Amino acid sequence: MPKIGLEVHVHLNTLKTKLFCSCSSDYINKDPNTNTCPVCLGLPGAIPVLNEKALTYAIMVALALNCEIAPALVFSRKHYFYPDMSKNYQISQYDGPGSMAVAKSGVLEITNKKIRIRRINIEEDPAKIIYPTGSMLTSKYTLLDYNRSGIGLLEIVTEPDIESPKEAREFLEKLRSILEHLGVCNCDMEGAMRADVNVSVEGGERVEVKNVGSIKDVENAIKYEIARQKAAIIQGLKVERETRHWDSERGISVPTRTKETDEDYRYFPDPDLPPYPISKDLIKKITAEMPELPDARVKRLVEQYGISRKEASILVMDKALADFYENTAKLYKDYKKLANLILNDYLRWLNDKNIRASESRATPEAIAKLLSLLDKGVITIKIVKEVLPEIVLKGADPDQLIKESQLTAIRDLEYLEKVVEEVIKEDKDAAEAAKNDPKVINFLVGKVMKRTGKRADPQLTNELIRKKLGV
Amino acid sequence: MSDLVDKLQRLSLIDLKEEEKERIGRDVQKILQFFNKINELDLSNVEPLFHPISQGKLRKDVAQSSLTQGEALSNVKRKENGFIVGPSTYGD
Repeated sequence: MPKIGLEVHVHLNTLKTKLFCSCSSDYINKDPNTNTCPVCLGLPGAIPVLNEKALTYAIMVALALNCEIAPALVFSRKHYFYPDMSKNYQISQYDGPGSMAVAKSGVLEITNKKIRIRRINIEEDPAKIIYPTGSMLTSKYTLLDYNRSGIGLLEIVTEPDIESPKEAREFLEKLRSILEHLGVCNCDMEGAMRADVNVSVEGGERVEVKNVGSIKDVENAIKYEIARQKAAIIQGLKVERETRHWDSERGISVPTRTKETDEDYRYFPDPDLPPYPISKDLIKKITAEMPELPDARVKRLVEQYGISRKEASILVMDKALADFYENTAKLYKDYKKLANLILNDYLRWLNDKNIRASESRATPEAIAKLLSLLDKGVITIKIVKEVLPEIVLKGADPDQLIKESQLTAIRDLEYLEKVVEEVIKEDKDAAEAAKNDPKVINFLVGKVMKRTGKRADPQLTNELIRKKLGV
Repeated sequence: MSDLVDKLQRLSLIDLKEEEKERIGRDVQKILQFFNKINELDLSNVEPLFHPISQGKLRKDVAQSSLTQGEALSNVKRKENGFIVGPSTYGD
């Protein structure tokens, strides 16, 4: 079994300001270096002061991941030379003399398995590096934008309890849902969740793939590393401890630093940031104000709407999707039919376009109306499925859509009988076979549907064919 | 001592000539000896102190204005389209 551990970096992008200064946290799409101050530029003598809300958020995440919370918040300097960090150290947290992580020893449960959380750190994000050629490998120099420098991050580190790319994906999806329910991270934003992935296979050393930008890429990077490392071992090569870089475009990892074991960050407590005690009262207050978390929500959805646990779990994996379901359920009371539509067809269109529920254009009113039209027999389920993408992707109004396209169901008996007769006359063999085989009846229903532009009511058509054939 | 100087040289990303290594080695030795004086004291009953100030401060999450691009880049030697130009990050 491969051993996989993740270091997940989460942008605290629902904070209004950076971690240690009052610059705005809204840095995306701004002109380069227009969102900075002496603190986040790392100018000498500038004094960092911690954002109060960042501490609250860190404690919320620690509680949600069942962690032990440190008695005091202490920051350390992590020293390294890299163009993204002009003061040559990152303000971070470290377990050592006089310092500790804000939280440790937690657990997150995925299907049939507990993934242990080693620790949670609060730290600042470095500046953004832009490669003029678009690639780290071929750029002769770098361009730096400090707008992102100093944005608050949580680093959530797991024990190497993950054993497959699929488990890693499930872990990250659950974590993302927790972060969204807590409101500490808008995970849809660019770079909001990144991970360093540690992978080792039997007979090899641990390899770290740095800075993987999405859940899909984490899954791919792990698949790639397992294959690469296994192949190396089969060929009798050594898998040595190293750091690699994930090339998302090409779907491969490439080596970066060569002297990994030589790294020495010379951590020490940051003299600019005296410890801040985390009182029992503060933890109690935050505990009392915790919002509903995914596990509790799944349980409630099952009880409240009578849907299955599996259905509830899929809804809750994407907070916006669960919100959408519940908002629509206020308007439309056949909760199972609603869950069915959202989980099968609605979600399929989102996945097809590779977007999340928050980006859907559909309103709860539109979906409720669509299902009501189906219940009243105005439209068929085929038509529901056909107009759904227009509603999801373009925000179309179901009434308008159905009126314009004349997609109402045909329940006109006389007309339908005529079409059924035609179809049976044209395909005598099928009609004969249908007398003994319900599957062939469905084939005939399909022909009627085709001829009526999918507007025939399938149930009614089925009955008419049976009557006509005398079965 | 020369191992220590080699390590410091590597960590601080500077190149030292042989005679510089010797001189710096002697200086580092002196500094270490100076700090070793603390080791002569009996501190078994003293709690380690990592900060002279016992409690830090927090600030409210309220945004204030930032520097302009011109101000932010006023001390930057090499710039390009509002970016700071830095070294390549690949290879040695």
